[in-house]
Amino acid sequence: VKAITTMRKVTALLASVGIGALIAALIASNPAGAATASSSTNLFVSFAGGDVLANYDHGTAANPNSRSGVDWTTTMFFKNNATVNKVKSVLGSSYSYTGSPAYAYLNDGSGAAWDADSGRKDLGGCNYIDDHMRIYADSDDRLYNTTDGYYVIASTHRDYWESSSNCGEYFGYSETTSADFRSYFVGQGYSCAANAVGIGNAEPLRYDGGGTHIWENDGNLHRCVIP
Amino acid sequence: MDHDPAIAKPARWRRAAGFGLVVCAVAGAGAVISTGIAHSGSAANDVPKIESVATTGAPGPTQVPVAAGMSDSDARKAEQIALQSSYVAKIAGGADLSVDPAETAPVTGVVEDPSFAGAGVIITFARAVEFPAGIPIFKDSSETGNDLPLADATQLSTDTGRLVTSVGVVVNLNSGDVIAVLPGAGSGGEAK
Repeated sequence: VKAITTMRKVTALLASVGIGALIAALIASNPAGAATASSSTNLFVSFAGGDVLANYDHGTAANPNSRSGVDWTTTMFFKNNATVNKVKSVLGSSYSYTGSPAYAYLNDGSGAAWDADSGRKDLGGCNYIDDHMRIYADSDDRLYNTTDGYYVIASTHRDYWESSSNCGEYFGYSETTSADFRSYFVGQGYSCAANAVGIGNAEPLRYDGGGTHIWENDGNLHRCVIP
Repeated sequence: MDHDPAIAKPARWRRAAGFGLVVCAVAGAGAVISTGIAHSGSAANDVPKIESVATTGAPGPTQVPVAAGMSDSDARKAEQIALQSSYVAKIAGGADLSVDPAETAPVTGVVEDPSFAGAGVIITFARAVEFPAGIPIFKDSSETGNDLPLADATQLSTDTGRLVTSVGVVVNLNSGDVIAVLPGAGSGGEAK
């Protein structure tokens, strides 16, 4: 009797696991959105000292391991004595506008956490293309490891004709945008090594989200030194 | 007790059912992985699955990978659809135009229709041209993708006087239709 009871329990458990997995699979393969963006490669990278950094930011702070609903690739790395606010201060009046927030999941050894950032961008709107950078760290505004010192990471992309007035908006080109930002930092007198760190988040050109989310990334970070 | 004929058959059924459910569970888990969910969960303290390793002392520069996921014949077909589109002719307004094959790539993320096949094509003009009214463009969307079915995702442009030197043309490879035009698209276009 005990064996049969045990078998029933095991059967019930397997049934719940199997049904749960199938439901999860169905949900995953048929999200509510009709056309959504998904990453095609590694969601995280392990950095010096075992720090775990997001290779993508996300549209919501919900599931750090979800490939759907990701926003943009991490493309820039500011090291030595960087903070989020220091980087934004360099962007200054040239990139004085903010956008909507996105979220990155980070752990420099002090605990995994989401960080939200609306970033900095230049003038956007119905008649403009703007370059948009979101900068991430944990609660003390910076990350740390013994190799890089205090550092932060950033994602980049362009907003095309972004407006609430149906101007034909779409988004994309993280790599091209990161090159714009690297040039800006070099122009401001900062050392920025192009494509200095490979982090495994290359995205071949792809018109995702039905055509509104254009992937373009070589998988390398530009490495800028912030004294 | 399993040797009791009255019980043995239900026990076999239960074992068979249990085996079937194991198969079901494994298949279900496999389906989850294959759809790209590396790890389920929604709490903020979920442990991320580390899938790649890099160090800040080991530069690894690479090029943007070549667009993948579509055949050469589909790419050429998409370019022909774009080049022959009356919308593109209207935008060009007589300006010379060209296609950069390196920027022809698949359209993805369309989950409403499993048979959908599309591509994006970048057309560059020899001079700046005014983007006219009456061209299908996307309605407002979120950065993470358009939440509308493609059939409802577009509208006709109005006369904004916007000047562009390139456009992206999103085409449906099955129907041969242009879905939408992306003013200013192209990795080399609209340099800032």
